[in-house]
Amino acid sequence: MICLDKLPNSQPEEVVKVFLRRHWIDLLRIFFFSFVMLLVPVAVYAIAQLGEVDLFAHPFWGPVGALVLASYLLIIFSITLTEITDYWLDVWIVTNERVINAEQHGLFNRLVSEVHLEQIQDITSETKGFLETFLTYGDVYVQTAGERERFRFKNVDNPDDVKITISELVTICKNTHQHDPKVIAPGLGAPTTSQHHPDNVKL
Amino acid sequence: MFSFPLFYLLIPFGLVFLLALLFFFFNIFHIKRYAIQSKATSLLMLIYFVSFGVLTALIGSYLLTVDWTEEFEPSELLPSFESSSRLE
Repeated sequence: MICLDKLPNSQPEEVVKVFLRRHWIDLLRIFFFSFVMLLVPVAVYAIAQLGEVDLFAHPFWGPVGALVLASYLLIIFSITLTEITDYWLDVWIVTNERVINAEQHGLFNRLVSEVHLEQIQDITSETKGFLETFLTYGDVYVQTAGERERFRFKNVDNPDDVKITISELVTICKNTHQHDPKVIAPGLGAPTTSQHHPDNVKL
Repeated sequence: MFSFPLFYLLIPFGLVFLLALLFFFFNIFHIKRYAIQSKATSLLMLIYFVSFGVLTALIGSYLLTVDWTEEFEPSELLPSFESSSRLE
């Protein structure tokens, strides 16, 4: 596991300032999907009962139905677990030195990127839609000087506050490094990215 | 006449179960390796183990109640579906 106090490639005085996950509404969506899928066999059973058909009474078709139901439950369980893992492993960490973006896509695709605060040129927060406005969550985009695609903090809580915090950290970082050029981290040409290569940045 | 035992049905189910087990361990592996260390993460792993254990126990407890050695002939299955009798 990753310890927030000892981030990979961390510098001596690096401190975690912001730690973000997706908003809890995304977790709720996963549970809602699973709940609806669990209702399907209940509905089938209820309809069969209305037609006075006992699905599990037959000596052959009873076990067949039970095995199909068990397989269905196992599949729903696996999908739910994978979605929760996906949610849990999507994290965004802002320290006083850099921004780390770690995203899990399914079980076999993981993207970890980081960008030094000095490289950040523009930060945008976006809240659109009724639910996002009501629950105050949305996206934050962090654009660097390079032509790389911008970082996207997906569905994070209070995107405006996050934007302000990062802006302040960027200002502090730029001022610090202007006065003390030795502090500048090496290799500031472009943000580093490791896709499905956990040895580079173990996040 | 050709007949087959009920436990043949367990073969495809076993494959589904193995796949679910594989997914379960992949999820645990990912959490163990990439998640941020915290009490919530430990709790999440505990929930994973308990929920998988409960589901497996429920399925297993049902499987034990069925006589899987019973044999059936294909011809007796489809016509008898409409006049299904209770398993006592």
